[in-house]
Amino acid sequence: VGVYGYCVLPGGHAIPHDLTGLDGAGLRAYTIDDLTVVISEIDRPEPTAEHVQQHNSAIEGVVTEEVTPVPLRFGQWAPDAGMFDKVVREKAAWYHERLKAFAGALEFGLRAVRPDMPPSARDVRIAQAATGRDYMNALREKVVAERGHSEEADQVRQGISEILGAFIREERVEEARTPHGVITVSHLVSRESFDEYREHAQRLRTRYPDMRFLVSGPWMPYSFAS
Amino acid sequence: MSNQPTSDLTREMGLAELVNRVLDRGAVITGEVTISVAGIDLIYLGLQLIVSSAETAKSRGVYRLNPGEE
Repeated sequence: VGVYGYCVLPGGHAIPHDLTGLDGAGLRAYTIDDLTVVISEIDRPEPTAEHVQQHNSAIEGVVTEEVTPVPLRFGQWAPDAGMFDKVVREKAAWYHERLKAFAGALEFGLRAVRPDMPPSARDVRIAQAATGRDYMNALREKVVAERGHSEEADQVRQGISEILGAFIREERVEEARTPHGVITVSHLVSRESFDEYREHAQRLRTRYPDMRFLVSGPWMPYSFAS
Repeated sequence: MSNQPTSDLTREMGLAELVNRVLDRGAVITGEVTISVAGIDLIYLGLQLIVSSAETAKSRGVYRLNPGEE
């Protein structure tokens, strides 16, 4: 049996007594100076989709209107609590800064997808080129395609900022990793702005009619805890 | 996928978004874990699901996801 971590909270923050973690394991507050790590004492968990959901549910269970924890990534397990002591103490100032930034806020995800994007715009293959000239032509095509995609992503990002900027505390932009993805952003949004954020996000459909915009949330602020 | 009720579609997309977040982001203390099926990372599978679902969603008018508000 070792120690599995879910999230980091301000010291003294209460954990609901009936809240459970992976496979129904009990949760315990492990205090490190003036921070609290929510842990379970369990064997190293198998990585499954069910465990991912249980990990997230445990974190959601300790959120209050005032306190949003710093979520840990799935799989943070150690044979004993020593590793947690070391890392949390080393990064204590960062955890405090994040807890302050997260207070009263949660994360929304916004993913712009263009299903009709031609394959050449994202995935020009150069490895199969038969001759040097073919290779250079393919390389040029790839560079042009990537530049065009980057410009499109920049334009969409600007549009998102204009429409939603007033309702977000922080933004993270992620490289689109799928063939039709244009841009993926995460926003840290105050609770009082949730409705306005959702309403204004609908305007993106009008401004960019060729794209699909997938808005999800509220989530624990995973994207702002990396 | 095209015959799925909208609520199932929304649930699958929510799960894909969750898996992507919980595995790929968040604070790291002890190390990395990747869930994979048949040698393919679930993070990537999740993103594939999001894209295919988005194309299905086009015909359904599903543009906004709010887990828990199906």
